[in-house]
Amino acid sequence: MGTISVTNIAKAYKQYPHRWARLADWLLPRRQARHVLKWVLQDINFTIHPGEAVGIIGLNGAGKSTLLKIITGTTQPTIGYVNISGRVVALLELGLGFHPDFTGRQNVLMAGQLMGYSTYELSELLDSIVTFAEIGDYLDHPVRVYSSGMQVRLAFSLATVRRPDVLIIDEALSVGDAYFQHKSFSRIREYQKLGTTLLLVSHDKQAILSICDRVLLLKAGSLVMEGTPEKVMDYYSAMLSEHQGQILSQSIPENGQVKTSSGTGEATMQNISLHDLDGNAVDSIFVGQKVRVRVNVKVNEDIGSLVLGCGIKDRLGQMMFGTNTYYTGQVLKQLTKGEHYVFEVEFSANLGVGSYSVHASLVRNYSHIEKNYHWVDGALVFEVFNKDKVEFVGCSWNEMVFDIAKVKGKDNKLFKNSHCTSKYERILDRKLVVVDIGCRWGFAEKFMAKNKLFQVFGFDPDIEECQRLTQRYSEESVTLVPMALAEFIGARTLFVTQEPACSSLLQPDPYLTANYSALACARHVASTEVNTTTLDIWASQNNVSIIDYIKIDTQGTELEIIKGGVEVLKKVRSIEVEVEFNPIYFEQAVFSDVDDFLRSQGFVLWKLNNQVHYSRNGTTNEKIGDDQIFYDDKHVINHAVYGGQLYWANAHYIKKDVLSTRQRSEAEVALDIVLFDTLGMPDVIDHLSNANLKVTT
Amino acid sequence: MKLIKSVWSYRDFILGSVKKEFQFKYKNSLLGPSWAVINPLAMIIVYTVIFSQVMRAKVPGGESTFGYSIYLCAGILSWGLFNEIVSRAQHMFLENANLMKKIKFPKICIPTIVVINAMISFLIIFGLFSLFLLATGNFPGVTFLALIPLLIVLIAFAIGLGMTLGIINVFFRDVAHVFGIFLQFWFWLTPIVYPINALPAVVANFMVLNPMAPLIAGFQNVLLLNHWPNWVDLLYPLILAALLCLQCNSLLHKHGADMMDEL
Repeated sequence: MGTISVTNIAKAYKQYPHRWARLADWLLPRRQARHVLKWVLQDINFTIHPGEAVGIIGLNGAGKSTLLKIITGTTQPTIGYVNISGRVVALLELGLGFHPDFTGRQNVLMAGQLMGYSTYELSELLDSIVTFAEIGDYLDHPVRVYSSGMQVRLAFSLATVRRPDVLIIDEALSVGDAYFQHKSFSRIREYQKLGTTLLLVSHDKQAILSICDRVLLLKAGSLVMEGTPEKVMDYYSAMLSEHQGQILSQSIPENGQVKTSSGTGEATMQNISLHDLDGNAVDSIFVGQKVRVRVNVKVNEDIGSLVLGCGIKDRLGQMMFGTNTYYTGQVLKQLTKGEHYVFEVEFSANLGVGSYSVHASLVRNYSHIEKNYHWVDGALVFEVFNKDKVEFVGCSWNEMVFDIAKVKGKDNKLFKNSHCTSKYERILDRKLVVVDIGCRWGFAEKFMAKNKLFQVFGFDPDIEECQRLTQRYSEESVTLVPMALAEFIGARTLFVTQEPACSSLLQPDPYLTANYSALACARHVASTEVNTTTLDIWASQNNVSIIDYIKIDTQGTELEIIKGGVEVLKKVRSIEVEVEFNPIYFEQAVFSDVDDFLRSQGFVLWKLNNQVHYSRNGTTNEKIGDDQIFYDDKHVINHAVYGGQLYWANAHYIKKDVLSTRQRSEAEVALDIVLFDTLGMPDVIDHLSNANLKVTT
Repeated sequence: MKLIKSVWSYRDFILGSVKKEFQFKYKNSLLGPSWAVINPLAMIIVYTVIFSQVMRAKVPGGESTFGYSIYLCAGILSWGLFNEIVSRAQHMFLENANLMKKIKFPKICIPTIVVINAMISFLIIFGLFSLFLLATGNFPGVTFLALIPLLIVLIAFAIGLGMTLGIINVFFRDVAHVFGIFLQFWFWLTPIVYPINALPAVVANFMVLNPMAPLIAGFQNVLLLNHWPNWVDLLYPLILAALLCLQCNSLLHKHGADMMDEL
């Protein structure tokens, strides 16, 4: 049920030179006909399988509607035949042939009867038809007073009141408002899941991309292309300017993403590549990372002006963002044959996790419709990963700040205000000092967003990484220190690992790195000698008298570093330390060691988060990723039982003094509140407010 | 057989359309379906007054008080049925173009609706006429049954002609105009208002060419004279009806696809 097969369909209309010619044709048959055949469809062959959703696109007059009419059976093909199995429902040219003088109810009855429903069935179904159409009292008004949107609502509701085996829709839904389009598309999707074959003509690219499994492209009555929606839509966009005699080509490179290019060729793009800010070619980048698209352009003819357009498209071919040098006011003028140009387009990959492609075009002016030198879709594909952003959904990244305040009784002056933190930000008497030890990949956005309130020091033994970060963070508030910290001054071996982020002063356990695929990143690949210093020595040498917050993640040497900073720790309000439960590096301190020591320094554990488990194999109840890595925060429900062995977590410690009920000065309180607000720990602020209340009341 | 089957499977649509059309015809009128009776009644009165009273026309066997009226009614009512079917049928494809272009259904449904609609109007007025005959003691008796084959031949002839015209009319709109005029002549060239013996002998000889003449005569014989119709004379319209129906079947085959494109 629901198979459509179209075999050798062709359709021609007879065109007579004058009105009498037809009469003559009828009455005086002779060998040569008096009409000419105008072919609107030729040689159409395709098969649509049950449950498939197929879109038909093409310019106006390409024969889309005629093809649908032939498939529906209201028009006969001149040659060829169509086979359809199952119950077919078609919405052709906005409706079901409603009679303008009859009421909606009468029309529903009549069209419904024509669709094969009995009068009794229709009276049963009428309620659900009207409920879905939401046309209210209009049901008993003549259809001629309906808006076209209302007609479509009623027609669609009637057509789809029961699930047909084949649903054919010709552009009808574009008439409806956005609300009804949503509603009808979700019904279409629902039916499609249940096995309805869908055939759709639309100019709505979004609809085609989101619903169809396959798209047929008609051009001047012929089927010129058939394939995945992204591929055909890209080709179609390129085809829109094809009348300028451009060469249109499409190829499928190894990565499987379709590459479409077209253009008249006066200027061509030789090479399109994606680079990080150090100039390394990359194909996977992190959310928010600044990257550059580099385009090499060769001028093949003398041309008056040249505009480069560049944009990022998602997996479905939908443009995420893009602009061109016309809009940025950088049009190149008077180019001569043989010149080469390099364009570098820098942007932040504020994109959701997933796969994206680069679109680039060379045009004369702001649009490719006028003159299109070279146009490339899918030139380059890259992946976006989330490394340091909070878990988020959607196709673009944007920092969201949740300001949460618990509403309390009237007399709580300190904390009741939901904008409490901004008030405290104003009364800070100094900047908060943050030290990030092991800062490869950069600092948390939360500190950078409030860079006026924070002084950040970052430590990483990799000098190159420090230089990169220095370039990236131009803010005065950031200082990069290319040093290795430890408990004592001295020379140590740095074990460089496959992934530089896993490099450590401790040797990684070769058994683990060999046997756990997810730990392959920590495989030892080289060693270098580094000089170490201690946090205390560094602080005194650099006149850093107070450190408010330490984040430390040094692959096993966290405890050593903390021990080298006991003086500094006296002023620290909070410390976030990565703790191991099962060592990955030899001689690594485990959680209990760190916990003992920090408690002895006056800290208490506030929370553990981001517990990471590894397992060697998959689990029994859940298909898991290649790397068998689980982040409790992300998979807490799925993997509570089968997550594998616990390896590490982040431990958040807070100084006992801060949490105590002892009355503190307003300046101190302000520092606490701004710090914990920025860290995203409203529960601490809550605790502070309660503690303070107890004392004041 | 296939035709009957497809008509049967679309019976709900056909009956619904008939009902709707009937309602629609009298939708914004105060007297409603009474017009279906008043119209022909007025016509009968006019003709009765003019021909039997003013012009003193007499019909053979119609010497009684209502003789001429019965003669006239028999002719006019049956002609009315014929006229209704043919004129509606020649426009039916154009009128239903909107529907035919949007939904696929057997084309035979449309003429069926036309016939049923015409039959309903006919039966209403003919029922009243029969009551009148009963009341005045002029009811013909068992020969009344002869009306059934007469009606079948009349309807077959009318729909065959009407559909043929309807198809041609899609391509050449002149047909409807031409045939409108032609019907006027045809009405007056058929002995409906006047008796056949009122015609000069030369003209009367040509009457054998008129397929409607034996049909109408059949009605008049049954209703006025209580005679069985002349069955042999009816062969001519019957054969013509069959030919027309075949003709329009072949027209649909040959030009059906073109017709859909033209609509």
